[in-house]
Amino acid sequence: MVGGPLADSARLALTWFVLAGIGVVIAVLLTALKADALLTHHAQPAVLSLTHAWVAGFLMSATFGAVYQLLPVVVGVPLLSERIAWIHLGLHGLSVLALIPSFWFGRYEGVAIVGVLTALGAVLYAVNVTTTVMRAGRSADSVAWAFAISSWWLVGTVLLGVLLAANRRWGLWAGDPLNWLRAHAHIGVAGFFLTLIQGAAFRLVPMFTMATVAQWGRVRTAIVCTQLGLFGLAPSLAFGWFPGTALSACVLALGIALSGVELRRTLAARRKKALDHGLNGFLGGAIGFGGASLIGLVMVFWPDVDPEWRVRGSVVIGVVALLGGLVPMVSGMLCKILPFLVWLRAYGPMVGKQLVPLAAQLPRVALERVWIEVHAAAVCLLLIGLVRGEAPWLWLGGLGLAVSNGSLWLNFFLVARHLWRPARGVGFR
Amino acid sequence: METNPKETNRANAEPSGVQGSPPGTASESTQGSAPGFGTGPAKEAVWHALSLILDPEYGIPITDLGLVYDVVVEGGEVSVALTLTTPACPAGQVILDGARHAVASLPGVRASQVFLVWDPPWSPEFLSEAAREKLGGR
Repeated sequence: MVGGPLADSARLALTWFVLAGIGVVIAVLLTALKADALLTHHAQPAVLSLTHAWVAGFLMSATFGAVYQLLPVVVGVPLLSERIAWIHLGLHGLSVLALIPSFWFGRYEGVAIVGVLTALGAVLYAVNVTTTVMRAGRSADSVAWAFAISSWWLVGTVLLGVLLAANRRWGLWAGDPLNWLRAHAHIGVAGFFLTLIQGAAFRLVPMFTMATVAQWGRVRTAIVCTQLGLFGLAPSLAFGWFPGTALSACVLALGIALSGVELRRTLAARRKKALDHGLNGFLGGAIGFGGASLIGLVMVFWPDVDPEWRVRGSVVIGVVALLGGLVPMVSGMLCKILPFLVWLRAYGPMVGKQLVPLAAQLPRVALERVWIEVHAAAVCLLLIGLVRGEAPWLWLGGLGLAVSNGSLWLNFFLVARHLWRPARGVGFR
Repeated sequence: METNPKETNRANAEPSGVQGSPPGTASESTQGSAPGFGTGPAKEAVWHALSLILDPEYGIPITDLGLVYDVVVEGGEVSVALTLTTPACPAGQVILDGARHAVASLPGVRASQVFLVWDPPWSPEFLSEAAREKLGGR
């Protein structure tokens, strides 16, 4: 089959996206109801619950679906096992639904136990992805290996999370758990998400803008810098070793900067000049993520900051990196991937036989515009609330996230509706 | 309808979805609907039929994208050499199947074949002026 087997994996990816939609509903509701919790310590149960609702409930679910869809296209071989991917979905779905309330109520034994399910799912994912990449042999490039490497950072992140929860409940070891929590957060965000994006962006952006990557060497170097930075940063954070943290943070930041430079060059050479809202969301999120990295770097080299601001700063970084960075990046890519998958299933078989709409015609542009503009405003409101220490700004920001994501997922529903109510012929050219 | 001046490399051609099979085998060719007419469709009719297949992302006909390398009409037999933007194009099978059906459905077509060709590899340089204008690029 040309272009890789898509029909079955499209169903798999779409189901993951449904799970992501459930995750985003939970995350948005919790944020709207408890936005003022962001003024407390980032290790407080409510903040941990909010964080994991966004990360595990939405980001991871959407990312898994996208990877299971995109990986066979990238490497040109089928996924090792779709059955394993379906099992992963079941495990992840169950664990997310139990994890979020466990955090919320501070039941860390529940977090540890449920975390084992998440870890098992992560291992299945990593084995599935890595074996697929290895089967591709020489055709596996740096993008494919970014997928594989990131999957093992995910396993490490989840296992560390399980240990942290168990330690919080049963006091397994001495040492500052907050340092280990920082390590857990960084290897999760940078090890899994950043590594993956540093690869996938250079397949997806050229695909949707008719661009070519100018320097694959720079892409590879960026990924290598991220890995080197993380291998130093994780233990340095865990053991509170400043020199290692400082050096590793710089190497990691260099990796992010190199990816940014190459992404900019790729875009400059694109044939399709106009960027739609999905791509703008992705690129805006990339800038937000870069901003979070800069803030983090400043905090590393500014150790004498007031302790209260240091705690607040950690939450600021989290909000910027997740809500200002990863969430719009992943949502933006969903704006591209979901319509294509729906189009493939709903209209692909009719191509050449009758008039069909374009994949690019399925989304509602107005809803996407509301999403991108209101989301940006919501993040700004949250940051104002954090800096000023005033809850009303945070509640407004939470409300803004509800509006923006409501608009986006209404759009996704209307796109998906083509699966059971396809448009017919007239008016689409 | 502009024709693509690129030369088809038949030595590198592979029938749609089948590795290494010689042209003209039953698994690749599609029987047309015309009941034994002597003359086949005009070449322009084939190009026009292919131009109705649009890339789902860019909304540009595959003919303007430069994906159609060659069209040969000999009586009622039609051969089309087609490429894709990349071997891993996720819409590749859809475009291929659509092209196959569009050509086979033309009046006067007794048999048709759609070949996947990878040489020369597709390049944005193959875009028509109309495609470049639509994209807004160079």
